[in-house]
Amino acid sequence: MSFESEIQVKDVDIDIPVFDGERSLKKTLFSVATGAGRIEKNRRASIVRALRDINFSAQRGDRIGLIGPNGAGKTTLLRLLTGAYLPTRGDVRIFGRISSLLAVGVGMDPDDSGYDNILTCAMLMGLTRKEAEGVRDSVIEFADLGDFIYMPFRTYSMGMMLRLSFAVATAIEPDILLIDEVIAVGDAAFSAKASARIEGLVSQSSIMVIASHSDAIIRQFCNRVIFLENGRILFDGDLEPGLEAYTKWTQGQFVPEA
Amino acid sequence: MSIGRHSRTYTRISASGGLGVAFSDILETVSVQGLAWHLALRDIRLRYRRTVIGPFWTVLSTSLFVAALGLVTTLLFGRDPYTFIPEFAAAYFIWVTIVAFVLEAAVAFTGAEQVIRSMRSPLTLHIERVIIRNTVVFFHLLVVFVPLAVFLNVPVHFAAVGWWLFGIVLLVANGMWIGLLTAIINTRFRDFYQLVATALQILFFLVPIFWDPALLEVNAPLVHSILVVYNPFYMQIQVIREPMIGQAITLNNYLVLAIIALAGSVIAVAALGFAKRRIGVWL
Repeated sequence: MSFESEIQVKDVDIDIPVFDGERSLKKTLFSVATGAGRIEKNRRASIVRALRDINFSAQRGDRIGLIGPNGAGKTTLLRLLTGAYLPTRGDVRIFGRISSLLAVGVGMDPDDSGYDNILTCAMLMGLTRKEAEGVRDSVIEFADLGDFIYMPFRTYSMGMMLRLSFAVATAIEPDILLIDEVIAVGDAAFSAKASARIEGLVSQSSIMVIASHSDAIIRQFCNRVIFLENGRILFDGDLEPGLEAYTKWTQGQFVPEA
Repeated sequence: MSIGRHSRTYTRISASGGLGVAFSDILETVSVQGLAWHLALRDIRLRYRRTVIGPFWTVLSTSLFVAALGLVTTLLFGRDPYTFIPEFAAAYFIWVTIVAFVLEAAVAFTGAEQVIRSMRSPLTLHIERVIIRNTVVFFHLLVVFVPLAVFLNVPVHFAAVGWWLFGIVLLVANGMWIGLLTAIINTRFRDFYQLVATALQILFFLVPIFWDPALLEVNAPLVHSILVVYNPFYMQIQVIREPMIGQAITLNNYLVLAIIALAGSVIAVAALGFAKRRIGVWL
């Protein structure tokens, strides 16, 4: 096919206002946890500068690992690419169908069976009812939950919820697959299966972006690393140099390129 | 790719706001009607999961309320139960639908927080889901009106079925814009829900639902003109109820409500244009 999936992120900032909570306390806590100067206070709200000057592009075959400390902006970046958060400044262009797995069980009702939730979730991801019914069998087969598929979603373990959510997110054949930390809760068998499915998708035409704190997961799934810290990109490049940069940063030895 | 609404393969996510963003949100909702109905009907199914009579709990509890208050009012004010009970039942069914539209729409975004923050879905979808759900419940309630109309010999105005349907369309249209506006405001200011809930509780007594507007006309003409003549809530009740109980159609009510629906929609769409970018981070 002539179509090429692509992501272009240009000069993106995201500010997030926080309206509740005790502000001075929050400010103190945040400045310890995520670096000072990232929360600006005005009369009405604290404003978290979640992302700053984000520029990158991705082409087919890119499997990007988002790394960085807690609160670096990884999830915010994934929400931006999903289209859930719109930027405060800047511009994102995405060529290709997006599917995201940012949390386990999004769009699934705890009281509904897995079987029925597949339909709802696939429709939320953009399929028509007919199409959703069409992918249901393959989702059930991949999730491999046995008779639990007819039980209410709330009875599932975290791993089972992940299996089902992942199965739906990938069954719709996305061009661009966005995954947050969640994938870490799967067992070894699932991990191998997920890995194979992602390989399959990426070899077709897709781009994958995955955020994780696990070097093992990043090594397993990715061929490129974007290292975020304090809302900015500190490193964008090959896998091993990226992981090395992050390790150096944690040891306080990281020197950003000029 | 072959399937899905995102198979149009280009997405631009930018910092812009305004009417264009609002209209594309609405267009996206229009394109996923199957999903809106699916979510709405699932809500009804799951709300009564593991109950024996399911959605008819709503019908039962609303009917009992009508019976109880109807009886008390009939005795207190000496009204003729044959005309009063169907009048009151119809008005009350419409009123609970208005209340459900507004209050459930107020929490439409906060209730769908996970979906809004982790998926790409139009915001108006969540409002439409609330409106569909409660319109379906409204038709459930109407089932109660049928035996009532038969036994009490209500002069249902069947020729005016078109006006009746138009009244329901106006209810839905006004519910949409009020719901959208309420949802946006309540996502930012969480006190708003409590405020609206309180206001609606008081309005139940101010709108002529269980009392006779004719009495007020005699006792307090000025209050009568505010609460009865120029009261959009009462107009909304009238446009649906008049055909049901065989009263003459008041054309003006339809006109005024249509104008309110148009003007309100303009305001709500403008608010959506402003809020679209912000809802995700307000949640």
